[in-house]
Amino acid sequence: MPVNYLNENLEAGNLGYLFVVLSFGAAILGLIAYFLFMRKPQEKSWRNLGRYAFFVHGLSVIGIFCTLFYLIYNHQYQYHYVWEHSSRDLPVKYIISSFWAGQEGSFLLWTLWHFLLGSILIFTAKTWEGPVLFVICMAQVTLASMLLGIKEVHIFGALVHMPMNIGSNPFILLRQVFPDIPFFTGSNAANYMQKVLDGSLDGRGLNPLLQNYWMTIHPPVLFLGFASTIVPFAFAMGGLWQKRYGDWIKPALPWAIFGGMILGTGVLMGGAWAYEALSFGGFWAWDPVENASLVPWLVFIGGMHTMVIYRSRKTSLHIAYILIILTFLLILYSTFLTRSGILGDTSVHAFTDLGLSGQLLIFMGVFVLVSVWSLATNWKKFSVKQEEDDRLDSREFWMFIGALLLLLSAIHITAITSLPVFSAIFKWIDDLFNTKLLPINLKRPDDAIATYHLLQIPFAIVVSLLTGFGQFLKYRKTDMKIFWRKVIYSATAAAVFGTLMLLITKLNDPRYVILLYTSMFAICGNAEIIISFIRAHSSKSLGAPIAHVGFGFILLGALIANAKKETISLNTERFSIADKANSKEQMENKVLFKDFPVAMHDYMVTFKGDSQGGNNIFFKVNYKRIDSASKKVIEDFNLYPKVIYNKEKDAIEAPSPDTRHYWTRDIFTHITSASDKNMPAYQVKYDTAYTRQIKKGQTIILDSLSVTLDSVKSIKMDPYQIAVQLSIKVTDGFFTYYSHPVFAVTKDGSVDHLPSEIREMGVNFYFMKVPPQGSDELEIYIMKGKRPDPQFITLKAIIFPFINFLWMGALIMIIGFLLSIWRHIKQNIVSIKKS
Amino acid sequence: MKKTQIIGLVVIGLCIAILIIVLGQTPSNVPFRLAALHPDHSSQVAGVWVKERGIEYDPKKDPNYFAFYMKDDSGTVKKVIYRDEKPFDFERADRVVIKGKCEGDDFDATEMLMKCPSKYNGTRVEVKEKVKNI
Repeated sequence: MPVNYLNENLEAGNLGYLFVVLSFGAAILGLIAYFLFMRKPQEKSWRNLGRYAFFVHGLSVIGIFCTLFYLIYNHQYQYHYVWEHSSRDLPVKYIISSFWAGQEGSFLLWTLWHFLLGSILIFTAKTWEGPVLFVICMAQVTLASMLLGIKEVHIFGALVHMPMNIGSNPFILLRQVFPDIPFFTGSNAANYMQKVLDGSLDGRGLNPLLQNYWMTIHPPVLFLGFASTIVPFAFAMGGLWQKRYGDWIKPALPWAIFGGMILGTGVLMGGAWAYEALSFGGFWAWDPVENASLVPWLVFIGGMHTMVIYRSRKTSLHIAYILIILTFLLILYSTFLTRSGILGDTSVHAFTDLGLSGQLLIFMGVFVLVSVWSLATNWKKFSVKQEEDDRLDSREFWMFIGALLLLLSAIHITAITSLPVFSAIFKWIDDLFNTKLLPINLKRPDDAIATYHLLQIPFAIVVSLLTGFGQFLKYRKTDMKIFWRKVIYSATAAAVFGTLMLLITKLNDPRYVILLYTSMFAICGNAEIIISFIRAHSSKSLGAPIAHVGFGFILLGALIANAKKETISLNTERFSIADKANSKEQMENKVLFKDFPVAMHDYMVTFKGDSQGGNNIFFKVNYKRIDSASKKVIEDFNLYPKVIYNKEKDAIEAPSPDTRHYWTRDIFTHITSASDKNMPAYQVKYDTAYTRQIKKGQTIILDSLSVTLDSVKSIKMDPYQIAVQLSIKVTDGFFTYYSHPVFAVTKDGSVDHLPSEIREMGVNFYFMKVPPQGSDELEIYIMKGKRPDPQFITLKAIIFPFINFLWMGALIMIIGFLLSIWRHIKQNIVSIKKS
Repeated sequence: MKKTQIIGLVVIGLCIAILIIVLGQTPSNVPFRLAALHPDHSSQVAGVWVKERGIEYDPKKDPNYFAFYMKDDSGTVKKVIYRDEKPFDFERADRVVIKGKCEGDDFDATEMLMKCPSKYNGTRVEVKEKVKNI
C-alpha cells in the first residue's frame, strides 16, 4: 500500500531537479546552436541562440547551487545528499564544504567554473567564440548529465530497455534510496517528516577529516584549475576546425598561463592540507589522487612552453597541439581514476564509487575520439615550414627538450598510478579469453615511493638545469661567448650557495646533492636574468624568470625537507618485544607518560594533559630547549596535536598533527595512540576521606602529600550568586599540582560544593565550610585513593628542515605567473588595437 | 636524419622503457602460501583480520609493535607483525592489505592499508528517539 507522506517539502527538490534538467537541456541547445554557428559564422542568430542557451544553462547551474544550499542550510534530511554530507552540529563555515564533499557537488562546482570561464570567453573570444563555446558546451552537456540520475534507459518505448546509471541526482529523497527501512514503511511512516523536523533524524555529517579550512578553499581552487584547462584545449580545437592552425596560440596563451597557475596552486594547496591537517607525515605521498592532478599540471606546463616557442618562432606547433589536448584528456582520465572506484586498494582518499564508471568512460572516449580525429586529419596540413633544423644554441631547442621531459615525467607517474587500471584490463582479458596475462607478481619494490623517485629525481635534475640556462639562450641562435659568461656567473653563485646549503643540511644521498645544486642553479640563473632586466629598466618579461625562481625554490624545499626529514621520537629504549626491530623506521613511536619529560633531539618533551573541544581531543605537548652550558630554558612552547572523534564520539576517526614553524625548519608532532582516560585503570578509586580545618598559607601533611592553602578568592560563576574558589597546592616532593574546589551559593540560598580532582595524585578536594565570623579557618573535605596508572600518549615527531622554501617558492611562482598573464593580455590588446 | 627525428625516437624508446619498468611492478595480491615461498621478496597480501584472536598492542610497553592474525583470501591464517603504531581505523576495516615479507611463521608487514566501509559511505539510517525533557 503506498504511503502518503506528509510535509516533505518536495517543491524545493522538484525545483532543483527542474534546474538540473534545464541546465542539461540548455547545454544541448547551446551545443547545437554553436555547432551551426561554426558552420555558418555569418549567421549571428545562431550565435545569439547559443549565447542565450549558455546563459540559461549557467543560471540553472546557479539555481541548482542555491537550491542545494537552501536544503543543506535548513537541514532538510529527507533529501539523501543533505543527509549524507551534513548534520545539525556542523558549524556554518563547513556547510559550504559539505556541498562539495560528494561527487555530485564537486561536479557542480566544476560546471559552475566552466560557466564562468565560458561567459568571459563569450565577450572576449571574438572570432573564436564559435568553436571555443562549442567545446565548452560539450563539456557542460557531459557534466550536467552527471546530475541526471537516470537508472534505466528506454529507447523506442519498451523495445530497447537497459539498466544504466546516467548521473546521480542530488535531489533524490532519502526514502527513495532506502525504501524498505522501517522508518519509511512502519506505522508512523506517513508522518516521518516530524522526526526530521524535531531533530530525531540527523544527517550523517561531514567526515571530521574534512572539517578543516583547507576543505573550504582547496576544492574550489583545484576545480578552477581543472576547468581552466578546457580553454586552451577549446582554442586548439578551434584552430583545427577553422583551419587557423597557428592563430589560436596567441589568444590561448594567457589562459594557459592562468590555468597553469591555478592548477599548480590547487595541487600545492592539497600538499599543504596533507601537511597541516592529515597524518601522512609529509606534504606529498605520491597518492594516486595527488598524482591525478599533478600529471595534467606537468603536461600543461610543457604545453604552455611549446606555445611560447610557437609565438616567437612559429615552430613546435604539433607538440603544442599534442600537449594541450593531452592536458585536457588527462584531466578527464584523472576524473575517471578518482571517481570510478578503480583505485580501490591503492588510494586512501578517492571518492566512493557511484556506479558512474561506464558514463565516465564513454565521455572520456568521446573527447578522445573527437580531439584525436581532428588532430590526425589535419596533421599534415600545418607542417610548419622549417627552413633548417633547430640549432643546438637556440632557446627553442632546449625549451622543446624541457617540454618533452615534463611529458616523460608525466608518463612515468601516470604509468605507476594506472597500475590498478592495467590490472583491471588484464583481468578483464584473462576472464574473457581464459589467458594468464595478469602476472602473479612477487617482485614488488619494498618502497613504493622509491619507484617514483627512481626516475622523477633525474627528471627534476635535468628540468632544473634547463630552467637555469634556458633564458640565457636567444631564439634562433645565441652568441655563445655571452652565454657561457652568464652561465659561469650563475653557476658560481649556485656552487657557493649550494655548498652552503649542503653544509647546513648535511645532505649525503648523491642524487639529492646533484638536485640541490641544479635547483640552486635554476634559482641563481633566473635571478641573474631578473637583475639584468631590472638594470636595463625593462620589466615587461619579468614574469617568466620570477616563476622559474619560484619553481627552483619549490624543488629545493621539497628535496631538503624530504631527504633530511628526521624522526626525533625514536624509541631508543628498545623494549623487549622489539628485539627484532633493527631499522630506524621500526621504532618511530615514543611513549610519553603524563608529566614525565623525555629527551628528544635538542628538546625536553612533556605530555601535559588533554582537553576536549568539539569532536577533538587536544593533547598538550610541551617542548623545552635548555642550553647545556647555562642550564637556562632558551625556548619553551606547546603543541596541540589532536585526535578527531566521529560524530557519536565512540570511535577515533583520525589523528591530526600540530606543527611548530621556524624559518629554517618545522617540528611536526602527531599522536599515534593515547590512553583512554575513561578506562578504570586511569580512574581513582577513593577509599579514605578526611575533614580538615585549614588557614590561608597553612600546610597540612596527608600521608606522603603536603597540602598548602595558597589563596581564597571570590569568582563570578553562573548561575551562582556567590562563589569562592580555593587554590590548594599539593606536592609529593617531586611533582606539584593545584586543586581549585569551589564553594557556591545560588540565588535561593542552596549551597553547592564543586570538587576539584587531582587524578595524578589520587586526591579530590571539596570546599565544605567558609570560616565562621571572627575566624579564618575554613573546612575542606579530602577524598583519597590509590594513584591511578599514569596517562600516556605515544607520538611521532618529525623535523622537516627548510620546508618554508617550498611554500615561499609557491608564492614566488604565483607572482611570476600573474606578471606573465598581465604581460600577454596587454600585448594581445595592443595588437588588436593596431589591427 | 634530423635532430627532431632522433629526439622522437629517443622519446619513444624512453616511453617503452618506462612502461616496461612499471608494468614489471603490476601489483597483485598473493596468498600467504606464495609469499612464504619467496621470503626474500616483498609481497602484498590482502585478507581479513581474525577478530576472535584479538590484537597484540600495548603501546605503554612497546609503541612500535602491533600484531594480529589475518586470514588471506584463500583461507590461510598467519600472524602479522607491524612494527609501528596500530592504525586508528584498524577495527573499522573490513579488509586489510599488507605489504612485507614472510619471516618464519609470521609475516613482517612494512605497510598496511585499511579498507574501511566508511560510515560516511554506508547505508545505515539512524533515528534517535528524542528524550523529552519535561
